[in-house]
Amino acid sequence: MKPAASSPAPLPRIVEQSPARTGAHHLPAVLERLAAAQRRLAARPRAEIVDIIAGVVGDWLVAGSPWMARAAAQLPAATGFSPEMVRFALPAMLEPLRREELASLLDEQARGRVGPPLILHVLPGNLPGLAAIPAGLSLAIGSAALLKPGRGDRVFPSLFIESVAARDGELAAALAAPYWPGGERSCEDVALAAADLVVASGDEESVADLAQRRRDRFIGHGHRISFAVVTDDVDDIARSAVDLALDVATWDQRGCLSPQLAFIEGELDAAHAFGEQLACQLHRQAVALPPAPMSIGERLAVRRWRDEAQWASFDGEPYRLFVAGDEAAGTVVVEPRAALRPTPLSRSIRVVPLASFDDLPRLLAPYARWLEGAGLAASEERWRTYADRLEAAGVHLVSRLGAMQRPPLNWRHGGRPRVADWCVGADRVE
Amino acid sequence: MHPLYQRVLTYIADASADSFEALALDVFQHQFEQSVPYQRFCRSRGATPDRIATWQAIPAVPIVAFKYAELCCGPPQRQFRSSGTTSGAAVRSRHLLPELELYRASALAGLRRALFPDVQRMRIASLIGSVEALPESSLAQMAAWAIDEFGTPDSAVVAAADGLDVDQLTALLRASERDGQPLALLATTGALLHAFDALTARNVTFRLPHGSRLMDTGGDKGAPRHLSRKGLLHAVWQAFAIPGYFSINEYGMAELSSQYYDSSIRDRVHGRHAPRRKLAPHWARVAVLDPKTLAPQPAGVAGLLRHVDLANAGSALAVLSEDLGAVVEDGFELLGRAPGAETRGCSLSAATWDLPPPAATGNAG
Repeated sequence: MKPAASSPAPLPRIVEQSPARTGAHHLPAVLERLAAAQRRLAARPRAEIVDIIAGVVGDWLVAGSPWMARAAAQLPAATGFSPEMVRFALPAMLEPLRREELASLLDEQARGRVGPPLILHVLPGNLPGLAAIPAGLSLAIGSAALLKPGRGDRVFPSLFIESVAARDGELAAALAAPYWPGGERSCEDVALAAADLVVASGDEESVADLAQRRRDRFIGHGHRISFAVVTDDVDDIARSAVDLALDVATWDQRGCLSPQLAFIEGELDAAHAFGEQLACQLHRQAVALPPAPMSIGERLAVRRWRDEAQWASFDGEPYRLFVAGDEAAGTVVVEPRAALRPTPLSRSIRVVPLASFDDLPRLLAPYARWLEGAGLAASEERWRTYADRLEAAGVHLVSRLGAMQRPPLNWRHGGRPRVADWCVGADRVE
Repeated sequence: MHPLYQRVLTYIADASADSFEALALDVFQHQFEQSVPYQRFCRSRGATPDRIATWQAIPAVPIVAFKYAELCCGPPQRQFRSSGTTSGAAVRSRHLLPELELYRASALAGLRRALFPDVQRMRIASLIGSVEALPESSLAQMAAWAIDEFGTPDSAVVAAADGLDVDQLTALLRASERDGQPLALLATTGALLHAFDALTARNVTFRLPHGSRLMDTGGDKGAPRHLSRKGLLHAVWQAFAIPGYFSINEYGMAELSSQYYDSSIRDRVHGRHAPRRKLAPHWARVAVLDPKTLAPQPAGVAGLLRHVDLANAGSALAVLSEDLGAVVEDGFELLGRAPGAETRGCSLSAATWDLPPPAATGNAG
């Protein structure tokens, strides 16, 4: 089948609307269809597939995209995220699949190799849009992809497949996104038995459980923590607060690249000043990118965290609490000790003083296995040096503040190359 | 003794001796003046004694305050600690009491109202550890006082260091079966379930004489499994022949000096027909608040429980709990602990990450 013209997508054809639950008895037919589609996919030149994927992404990112409009209309109800958040943050989930980035990643990591016939992608909880890159990359290496959506986003995967179908039905046929609740054994067993490779995200327990039951190769991504560093030679500290607030607010801090702590090089006073500015900027973001409604549990977790900081200060500890509004709007706690600890999320961040950047590797060492991203604000002259040192300390992606949630396609998520591991005959990289 | 504490003791003994609101406002003023962290808390909310005119307006400290601050209006005579089951709680609550008699008087008057309204003394078997074994447990202290105040000489603690002393428990239960003297069981819900298992393993049941009763407390903490309230009442009947209306559940916490009990024994003794609910004694009040806005909820709607406990006159009289309940008639129904934050997305959160405390990484600040 020829790729469709690159004009804006025609009226999308429904390929597989699957927001409802799939039963285990439906899966064999889905798997059969994927296998047949994969055989046709494998015969097609990679450059052609890359062109189609880039075209699909272009259809999403073009001004007035009907796909983005549908996502913005459907995702808020399905995920709780505000329309403003979806419109702002969803493009970053697709942008990395542009032609140049995609082609260069494949040249670098896949080279002549191809993927296994079927990859099962167990997608993480609640960020919309996370299906796009696994789907696109799987197709690009000639693999069919069974995308298992997370509980919180059953809309985007199907919508993305529809958008692929609008350009190339044969390619779309190599994708499926049936939903079943995580941990439902009957469906999982069928999917795990069929997959030649499982790429799973989730908490450590569920990833370990899936790993035990896989038939063939397995790549697991557990939960991670990210942080920010603002060094004392940074030119514009106010700008850093603006940028960091955006990194915290994006997707309400649910991504593994969402910063939960900011090290501010300097004395406690510097951390207090930065914390106050950050809270102001979180307040602005709460208006620009309204937060999703909170569950009672989330609200109480943030309130408890606020109470703890406040009562520690009432008892004479040098803690400072800055709030950006109600519990959903954002919370900044300035703590005297420079230690990496997670927060209750929902736009909650610790700010701690860091006597010297040189102390950071020692502070990070106990947590190396959980580290993912770092946002770094430093002078232009020293940025690269500091970034190298953070990478040496175990951070997988160092970004500029404000760009933490826009990872490039070659981000080594969990320290692994993006697709090299997926290809058949790949060296295992741990 | 501070004259204000004396006034509270008099009020506990006699509801007509004072007014709840007047006493609450005086206690608030006392705590505002004597407790530095509490005063800071109140000032952060613009709440000073001249601005607080009703007991409902008294600023309530959150439970976590007891982990971080010394909420005590004088040198403490005694301290109690929570069992530390709150999620992610590495630090346990500390309740410091400058006047232990307030707790003793409140605990005993509460038990008299709810568990022993119809008898002076009876045989008590307590499955709650002894004060010697659990010196920081407010519940162990209450059970010890209960045995002194309401128990006959053959009453006993039947919790051994490594769990339950099944032989001693069996001996007490058999004694009541033989001599027809009713028996009161005091237990944590967890210990009670362990007792069911131990007695089932021995294949023994008991038909205790009429008037025998049970008080359990603590929910699923330390229990081998979950059992619904209905299931528990059924199991109590099967194992001991104690009817449901003589089985009451206590709701208390280390941070409070007063307890709430199921109404069923009290209702029966007073000839009232009413649904089972938790009742506050006249020296404590409970409000049910919207978890989001902290505004009072209408009757029947679940919310967070906010306590105003005059027996906490020496520490913090107004406490906002993390427990959920709903107003039922003149009392409330306890609905359990408020849910924790579920994990969403792929970011580690405090709820899912168990790490060494910050001190382990040194202090670079």
